[in-house]
Amino acid sequence: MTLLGQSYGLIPAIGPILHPHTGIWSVSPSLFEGAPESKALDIPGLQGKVTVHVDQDQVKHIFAESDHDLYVAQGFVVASDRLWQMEFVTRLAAGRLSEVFGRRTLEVDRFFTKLGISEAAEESVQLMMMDSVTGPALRAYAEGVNAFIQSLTPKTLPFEYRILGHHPEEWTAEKAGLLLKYMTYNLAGRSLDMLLTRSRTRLNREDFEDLFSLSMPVIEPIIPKGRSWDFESRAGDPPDESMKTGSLFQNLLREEYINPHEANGSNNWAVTGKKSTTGYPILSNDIHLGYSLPTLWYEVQLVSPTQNVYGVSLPGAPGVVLGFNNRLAWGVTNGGTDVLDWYELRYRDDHKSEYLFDGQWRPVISREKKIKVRNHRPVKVITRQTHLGPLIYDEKEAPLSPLIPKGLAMRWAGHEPSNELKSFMLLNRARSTQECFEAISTFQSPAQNFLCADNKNDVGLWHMGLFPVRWRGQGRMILDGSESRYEWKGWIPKPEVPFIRNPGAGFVSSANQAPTDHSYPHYIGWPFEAPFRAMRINELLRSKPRFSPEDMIAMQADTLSVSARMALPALLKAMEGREFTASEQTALEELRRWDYRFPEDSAAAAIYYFWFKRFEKNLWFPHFEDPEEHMYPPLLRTITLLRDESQSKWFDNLATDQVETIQDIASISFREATEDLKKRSGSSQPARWLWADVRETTFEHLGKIPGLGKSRVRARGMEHSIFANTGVHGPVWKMVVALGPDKPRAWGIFPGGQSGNPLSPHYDDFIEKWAKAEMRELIYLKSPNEHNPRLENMWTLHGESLR
Amino acid sequence: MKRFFDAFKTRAQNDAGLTMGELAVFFAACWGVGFVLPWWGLSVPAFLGGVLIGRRKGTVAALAFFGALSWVMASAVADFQTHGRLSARIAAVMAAENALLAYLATALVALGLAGLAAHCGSILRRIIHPKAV
Repeated sequence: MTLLGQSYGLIPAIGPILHPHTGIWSVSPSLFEGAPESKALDIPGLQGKVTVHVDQDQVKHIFAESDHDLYVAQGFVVASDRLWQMEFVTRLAAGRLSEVFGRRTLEVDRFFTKLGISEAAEESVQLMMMDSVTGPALRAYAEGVNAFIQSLTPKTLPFEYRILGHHPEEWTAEKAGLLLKYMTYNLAGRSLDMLLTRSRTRLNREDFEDLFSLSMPVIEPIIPKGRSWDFESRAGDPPDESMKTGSLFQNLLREEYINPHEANGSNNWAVTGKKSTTGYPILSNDIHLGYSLPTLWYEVQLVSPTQNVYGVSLPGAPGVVLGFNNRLAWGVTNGGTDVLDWYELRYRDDHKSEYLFDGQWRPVISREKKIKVRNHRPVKVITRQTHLGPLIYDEKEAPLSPLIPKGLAMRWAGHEPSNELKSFMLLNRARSTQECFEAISTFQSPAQNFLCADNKNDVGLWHMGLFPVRWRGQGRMILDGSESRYEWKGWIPKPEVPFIRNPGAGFVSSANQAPTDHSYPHYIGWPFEAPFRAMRINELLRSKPRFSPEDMIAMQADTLSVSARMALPALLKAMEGREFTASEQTALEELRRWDYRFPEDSAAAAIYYFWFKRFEKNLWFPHFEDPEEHMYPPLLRTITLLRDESQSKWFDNLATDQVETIQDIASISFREATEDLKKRSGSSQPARWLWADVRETTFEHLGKIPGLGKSRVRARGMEHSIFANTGVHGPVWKMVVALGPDKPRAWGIFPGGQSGNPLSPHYDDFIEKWAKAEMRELIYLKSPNEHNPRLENMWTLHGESLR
Repeated sequence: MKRFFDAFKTRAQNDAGLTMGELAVFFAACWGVGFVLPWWGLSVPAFLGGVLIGRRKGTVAALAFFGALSWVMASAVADFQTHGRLSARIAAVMAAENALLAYLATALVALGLAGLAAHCGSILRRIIHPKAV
C-alpha cells in the first residue's frame, strides 16, 4: 500500500491518483459549464445581487450593482476556471515552485528569489492597497477567489492539484502584485547587454560600429519622421568607452534558459473615422507572447454602475487589461525599451560585503532566505542588494542563462514601486482618448505603446513607461558601477515621452519597432524590434482609402514577410551559376515563384525560412561563435549586407585558408536547409515540405505536465509577418473593435479556451479557429436583460447566506 | 440470458467457490467504500472477503478481479460523462495514446490492492479455521 500511496519525484502516488472516487477520474466539469438555463449560487462577500450570463464560449458577462460585488464575482468566476494557473504564476514569480515540483525547479526559484520580484511586488502592493481605485478592487477580488477556494471539495479540486498532489492556498492581494511584476519581467526583463559585451570583445571599434551601429537608419518609427522636439536630454556626454568593462569577459557559463522570449511583442493599429467604412475609428490589436495551456488571458465582460467593459483579463488581477467599452477601445504593444542595465562592482575583499562607489565603501545588504523544496530540506539562498540593484549570481554560481552575468548588479526599472493596475482599471471606465491618456499617465512598467480610439474620432498612441535618463548608448553593454557618472540620471518626464495623436495619415500603428527616429533627444535603448511587421502594417494601411472591420481581420491574418521580400532576391542572385541536384533545382523553382507569404501549405516558405536561418548562422558563427552567448548583428544589418555589400569581408571565414564569398555561404546554407527539410518532412520532394508540417505549432501545458498540452497544430505565419506565429510563440490575443455611436462591434480570439480544466471542451476549443486565422464576434451586452442567441445560461449570485 | 447467468454461476462456484449473491455483495461493498474511505478503502472489503469467503485460491482471484472491476466501472461512468475526454487525458498524462491504457492502469492498481488484501484475508482465514473450505 505504501508503494502505491507514495509519490516518486514528479510521478504522483498512483493509488490515490487513479482512485475513481477521489482521484483524477472524479474530476468535475467546470462549475459554470453545462448548467441548466438559470441557476442560483451563494457567494460569501457579495453585498447584493450579481447576474452572470454565460455564453456558448464560456465567456462570463458579469452584471453587478456595485464595483465591490463586480470584483468579488470576477474573482470567483475566474478562479472557477483558472485557479491552478493563478497560483502557478504567482509561485513562479515568488520563487516557490519547488514547494510543488521539488528540486526540479530549484534553480528557477533561486533565480526569482535573487531577482527580488517578491520585494518589488510587496512595495507595489502597498501602493495599490492605499489607492482608492485599486485597493478595494484587490480586496474584493481576493474575497471572490477565496470564496471559490473554500467551496472546493475533494471532488471539485482542479485537475492539476490532483496530478501534482497539492492544495490551493489562500489568495491575497500580494499575489496580484506578484502576477503583475512577473508580467513586467516577461515583457521588460530581457537584456542583451551581456551578449553584446561578449560580441564587442571580438571586434575592433571600427568593425563594432559597422555591425552594431547606434546610428543605423530607423525605418518606419512609430512617431513618423519629421517631428520636432522642444526639449533636450539632460544625460550629458558619454564617458570614454575605454573606461568601461574590464574583467567581465571570463568564466561565463551557460545553462538552460528562463529568459523572456525574444519575440515578445505585438501589433496594434487604428484608423480614424475618415479612413474607415463605418465613419468611426476601428482599432486592431494582437499580442504576441508564448503559447501555453491554459492560455494567458481570460475573456470577460464586467458591468457595474461605473463601467461596462469587455476584453481580456489576467487571471489573478481585477479588471480588464485589453479591451473596449461603448465609447473607447484600447490596445497595447510592448514598448521594447531597454530599462535593464548591468553594473560591475569593485569589492573591498572576497567576502563582497562592501563595494566601492565614488571613493567610498558601501555595504552590500545580504539577507538569508529559504526555499521550501518538496520532499527535501529547505535550501538557503543569500540575496545581496546594492543601491544599483540586486546581485543575481556570484562567481561560484552557474547562471540559468547566458544573458545573466555573474557578480554584477542589475539596475531595472521594473524594481521600482508602481501601480500599473490603476491605469488599467481607469481605462476600463474611461470615456474618451483624453481620459485614456490620463489613465496611462502614471503607468510605469513594462513600457507599452498604448493605442486608444474613441467614438468621437480621437485616436492616439503613447509610448508610455518609466524610462531612465541616459546618455546615448548607455547600458548597451556592461557599465562601471564604481562611479556615479555611470548611474541613471533620473527618469524622463512624462510630457517628453513620445506620443502621437490624430495624425494626418488617418492611422496610427506600432509593432515594437523604434518609437522615434534619431532626432528624439532622449536615448531610450537599442535595439528595438526589426521594423518588418511595422512596414507591412503601414504599407497595407496606405494601400486603401478606407478600411472595414473585415479588412482589419484580414490584415491580422496576413502572412507576408517583408524580411523575406528584402532578402530572397539577393540570396537567389548569389546562387546563380552554381550546379544543383534535381531536388535542389525544384526547390529553387518554388522560391522563384514565391509571393513571400507563409500560409500552412507553402513549400517555398519552408525552404526560404530554413535557408535564411542557416545563412545567418553560417555567416556570423565564424565571427562570433555560439549565438546563445553572443549577439549577432541586427537582422536588418545582415539583410543590408546581403543586398548591398556582396563583396564584404564579413563573408570570409578567417579560420579557413580559402576566401569564402556570399555565393559560398548561400549555397552551403541552401544544401544544409534542403537536407534538414528532407529529414523533417520525410520526403525528398520539395513540394511536400509544407510550412505547417515542418514547423509545427505547439501549446505546452503551463506547468509542463505531459499530455495536458496540444501539439502538431497546423498554423500559418512567422515572426516577421503580421500573424507572427513562431510555432511556440505568437498572437495570444487578437482583437478588432469597430466603434460606433452607441455600441461597438468587436471580434476576438486567443489560442486556447476559457476553461483551465483539461477535461473541459472549452480548454482548447478556440485553437482550431485561431490556427485558421478566424475570429469570433464578441457579445457585448448593454444590459442583463438583453437577449442574444449565443447566451447559454444565467446565474444569479447572492451573498446573503453561506454555502 | 438466464442460461448465461446459470453458466456463469456454475463456473464461478466451480472455480472460485463463490455464489452470485456473495459476488454481488462484495462488488457493492467495493463500490460503496470508495465514497467513504480513501483510495486504500478497497482493501477493506477485499480483506474481509478473504476472511469470510476466501475458501480457495480461485476465490482470492475472483475477489481481486471484482474489486478491480468496481474501480474500472466507476471510472467508466465518470469517463462517459465527459464523452471520453477523461480517459484520453489520463492516458496522455501517462504518455500513452490509447485511452484504454488509462483503464488498464486503473485496473492493475485495483487488482494489486484488492488481490493482496484478499490474499491476506484468506491466510488469516486459514489460520483461524485451518480445516475450513
